[in-house]
Amino acid sequence: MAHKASDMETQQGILAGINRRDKTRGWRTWFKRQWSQSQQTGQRRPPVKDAATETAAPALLKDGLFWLSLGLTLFAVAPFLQPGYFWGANDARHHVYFLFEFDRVVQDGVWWPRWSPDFAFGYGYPFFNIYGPFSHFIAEGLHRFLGFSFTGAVETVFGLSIVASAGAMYAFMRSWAGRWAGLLSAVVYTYAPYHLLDLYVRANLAESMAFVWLPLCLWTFRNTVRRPNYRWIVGAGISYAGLMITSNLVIVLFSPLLAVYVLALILTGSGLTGSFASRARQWIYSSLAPAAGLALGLGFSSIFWIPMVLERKYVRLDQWFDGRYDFHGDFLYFFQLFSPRWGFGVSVPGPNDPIGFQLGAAALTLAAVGVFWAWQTRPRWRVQLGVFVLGGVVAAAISMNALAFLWDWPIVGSILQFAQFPWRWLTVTTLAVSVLAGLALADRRKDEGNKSGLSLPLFVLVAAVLLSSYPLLRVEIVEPAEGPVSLAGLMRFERDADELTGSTAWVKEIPTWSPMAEYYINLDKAGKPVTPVTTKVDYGAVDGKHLVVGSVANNTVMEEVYFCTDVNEQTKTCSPRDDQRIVFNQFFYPGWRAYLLDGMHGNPVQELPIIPEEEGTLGRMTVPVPATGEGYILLQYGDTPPRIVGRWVSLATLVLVLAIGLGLRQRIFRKR
Amino acid sequence: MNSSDTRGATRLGLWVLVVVSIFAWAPAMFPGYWQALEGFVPVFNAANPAPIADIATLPDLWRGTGSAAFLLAQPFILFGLGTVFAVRITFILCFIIGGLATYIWLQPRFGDRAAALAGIIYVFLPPFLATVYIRGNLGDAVFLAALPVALAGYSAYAQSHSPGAAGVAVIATLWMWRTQAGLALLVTLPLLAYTLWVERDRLAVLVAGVASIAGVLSLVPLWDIRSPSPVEFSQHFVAFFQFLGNGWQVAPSVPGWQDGFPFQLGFPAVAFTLIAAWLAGMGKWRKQPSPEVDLTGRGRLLGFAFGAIVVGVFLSLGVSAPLWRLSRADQLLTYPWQVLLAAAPFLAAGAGSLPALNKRLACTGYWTALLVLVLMSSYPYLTTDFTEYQPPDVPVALVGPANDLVLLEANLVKESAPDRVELTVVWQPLQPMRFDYNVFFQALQFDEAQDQLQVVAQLDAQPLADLPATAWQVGQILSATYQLDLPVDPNQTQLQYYFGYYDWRDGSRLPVNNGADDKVVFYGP
Repeated sequence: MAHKASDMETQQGILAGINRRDKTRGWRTWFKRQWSQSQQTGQRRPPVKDAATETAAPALLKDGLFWLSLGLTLFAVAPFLQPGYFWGANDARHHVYFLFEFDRVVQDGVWWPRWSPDFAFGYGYPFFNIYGPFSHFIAEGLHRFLGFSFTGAVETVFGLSIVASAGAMYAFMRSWAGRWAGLLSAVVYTYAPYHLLDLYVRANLAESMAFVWLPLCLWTFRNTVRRPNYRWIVGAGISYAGLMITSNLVIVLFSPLLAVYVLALILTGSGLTGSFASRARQWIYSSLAPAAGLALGLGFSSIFWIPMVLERKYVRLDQWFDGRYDFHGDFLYFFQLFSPRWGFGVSVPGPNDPIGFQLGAAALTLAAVGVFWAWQTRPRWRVQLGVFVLGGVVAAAISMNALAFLWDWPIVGSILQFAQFPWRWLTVTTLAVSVLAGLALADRRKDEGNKSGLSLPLFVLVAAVLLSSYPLLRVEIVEPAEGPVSLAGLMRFERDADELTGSTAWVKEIPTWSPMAEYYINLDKAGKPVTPVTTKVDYGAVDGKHLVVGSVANNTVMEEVYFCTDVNEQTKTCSPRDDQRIVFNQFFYPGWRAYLLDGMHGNPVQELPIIPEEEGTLGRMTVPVPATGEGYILLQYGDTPPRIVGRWVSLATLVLVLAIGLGLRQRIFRKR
Repeated sequence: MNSSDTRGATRLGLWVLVVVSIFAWAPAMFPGYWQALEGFVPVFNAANPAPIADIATLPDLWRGTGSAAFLLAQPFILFGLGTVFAVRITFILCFIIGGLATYIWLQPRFGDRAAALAGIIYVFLPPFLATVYIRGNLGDAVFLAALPVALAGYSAYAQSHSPGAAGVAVIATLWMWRTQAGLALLVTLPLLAYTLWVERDRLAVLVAGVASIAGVLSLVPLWDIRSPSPVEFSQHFVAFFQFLGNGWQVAPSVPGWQDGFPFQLGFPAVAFTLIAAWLAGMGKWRKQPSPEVDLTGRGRLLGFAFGAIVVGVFLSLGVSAPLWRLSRADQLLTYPWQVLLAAAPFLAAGAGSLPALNKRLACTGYWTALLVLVLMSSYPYLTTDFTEYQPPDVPVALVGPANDLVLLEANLVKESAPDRVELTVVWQPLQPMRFDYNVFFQALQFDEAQDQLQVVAQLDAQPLADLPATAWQVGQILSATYQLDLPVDPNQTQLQYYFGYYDWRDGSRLPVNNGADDKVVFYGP
């Protein structure tokens, strides 16, 4: 314990020494030494003040309170263990059918699905090109390899997200404020009403999973500043990438807080005296590791975000923001943050939402105690405290009706509108409140002196938090209105709820039904197995005289079609003509390409243009038939330049990280 | 745990009190109002201030609401922020002032954390919450704010003899007198006893006495303003079990013990007080939580608080009825249980003293748990029947012998071809309706031959087809449209229209505007 008392002095001495010596040698020398020191000495390196707890505490996986924090999530997971599924929750059906579509495409050998063939009544939608697929990756793994049902897989991912978010929060807070604070924050985070709203009422899988990455990002980025080394930089990269491919929406809301937090750590962490120039240089050095973490995060996730950013404009964004998704009707009123009101349903314009947006009585009380307690007793934490207080308050404020005008401002508004619903900013508030709540027990002296980690105040506060949210721990189990999970069920859902009808930018009129939907419903009504359509060629546009077509192969992302123009009934021959087109019942979207093949299942010999239909309102793909008389056309969904670039950048980042990791490992082994 | 935990966090309790008390007043931030038992009576009277509130309420020197109740609302009305908003802000200020004053009053003797706990208990005390969100009684709410201010003022004055403290105490005392004179008169004796026995300061006693006399004198010009009580005082005593119940609903106090109205004192307040009394009985009041805490008078303060609680509870029970009757104190209040409001600060003091009596409970972890417990126990009550209806500043009419309902709006629309008239009324019951009254809506034309008005069309109906009057909830906002087919064009003919409520058994009409009429009259073009 003795060395901890002088952590600050030790750190300042080291950094001052580094500063003196490095003035002439530059940042490479400094960073090299930092790097090698952290690689070689690991735990032996004198830790900075705030990290003292983590270094003094047992390894995370050997920490009893870590496992306790996971175990205490049981009450939150329990509602998902009920038989049945909460079909009535806002997005509960969506996620089952997201997975259903994900699985359909994976079955056809696409390991990174981007196209959802059955959305918009079968006209297709590039859903996973613009929506973070991570949670559905996990759900697909459970479904495909472990045999979970669609609903079971989704519920399991919800459950995993709860457990993992508690663990992540524990890890972060332990590194900052100690094990007690870690446990308390983890419990508050798990049982925060807005988190429970996301889980049970909104049933938003991606946002629930994002709750895992938020504290992980804070933890890893914190350590890139405090203890910069390869492990933390890669950890930061993975966390940020994980958040990106989980919810590209939450990352926009969270990144400003993360940036300010890292900045605060950099500016306050050095503890240097000296000229501004030397401090500025120190700040720049300190920012290298988090910057590297950020770069890795963007690199890892570029397979997703580059196409998402560049091809987002090719879908109809008005569907995201108009009508019932118009953000103007979803602002919160101040009293709602404190109201005990709780229920099921959707948010409605005005102050009378049937669902609750409370921040939690216990959570806020703990946060208030945590802030003022830490502010007065831990002066060194004040800047960090300020970041979370400000972050939480600002996020809550911009979800308020009183600040609705900000959302219509030119630049600010476009950033705020990423949330789609103003109350989504409560994600950031909930994170901040949970972090601050833990500080009510940020007392490392007692924490470290207590081997088991248990204490009566900790137990009492954890119990209080659990009890405060206990009445909220319920889901509404109902039967699916559209029947079992199937293509027919999907079509009924799309029709009845007017959901999953997202369309591409070429669609002038959102479809309300389709031949594919008719086909599925008829099969279902006839009591036959509902199997996917075998072709998406619009045979209504084929006259049978000037053009004859027949699908010879089809799956979710391709179709091969035989064509014959100007058919001679007697000779059974085809004559070339170039004024015919094949119309496919698929929305046009970049990535679809058409080829003339050299025979059935043959190789492409010529790329054919795809023209969005000009006369209809559906923006379907039409392929001009080449003047070859007959042949085979392959329509295939593939890559675009942004997707190729994104994939290669991700791959290159991965290779780079592995190479550096292996290199470092070998160096360490050689030295040992 | 030990007391080192409390070191270095000097005003932690105060700041936490400020933040946590937001929960208590946040419901009043609803963009509208709530359907409380008193309806929009505070709004009408804030918009039209009188020495004793007289719109939609019976003006009475002792039981009525004095003009000081609306004092805090006036600046907001003057700034054009709307009367409803001004009244809501007044309620909010009552919570804030009450909580902070409790803290300031107790902090010197209890220390920061115990005083903050007491402040938080006070603002979340079910009687306080019920006064605001169930009764919607601004006068009593202001009294709940002013009483701890007075106590804090007398306490501070006794310790410092600062003119400022004396000023605060006097102003708070006068404020109580001009807000709720009956309650103010009832607390005069306890206040004097408090200054005499707890503070033991002659000057403080003198200040309290002078302030009380000034309060009485301020009422002299209003001495003749008297009205009969709207309810039978002796039928509204509380049964003891009701103090310990957990019911909560918007319902009026009714004779007997089957009230829907909550009389609960709150689990933490009762439990903490009992534990504190036990600890004090064990002599723990001598423990000093921190060096800056003044032990002088702490035992007396606790003793006085426990005594005040016992007296308050006793006076709310039926066994005290002879006392009320003999002393004629039953003329001072509408309900006997209002006396609990006078005991509320002492209940908060007794319950909040726990961390001062047990050092362990002052440690951050336990203390936070106590706060959470207080908040959680009242959390379900922090919502009410909200409404976005915007009332007028003056009601159209008051109907019934005891202002049973208030007619908020009455809009007449005349249509030609077909000739008819539509009357849309919005009303709010302020008392439980004793009978399923009907409404009458008549069109009358002056008959020159007979030189009198003749009914040309008439409608008699149940006010709401699917909701008889006895099923109306007090405070509920109700609306209906009545249509009358006319034999003449209402836009071309001079007609009068009568609207009112009547007893269909004998045809007797309910009085309107305290008996000034028995109908509301609308005039045609």
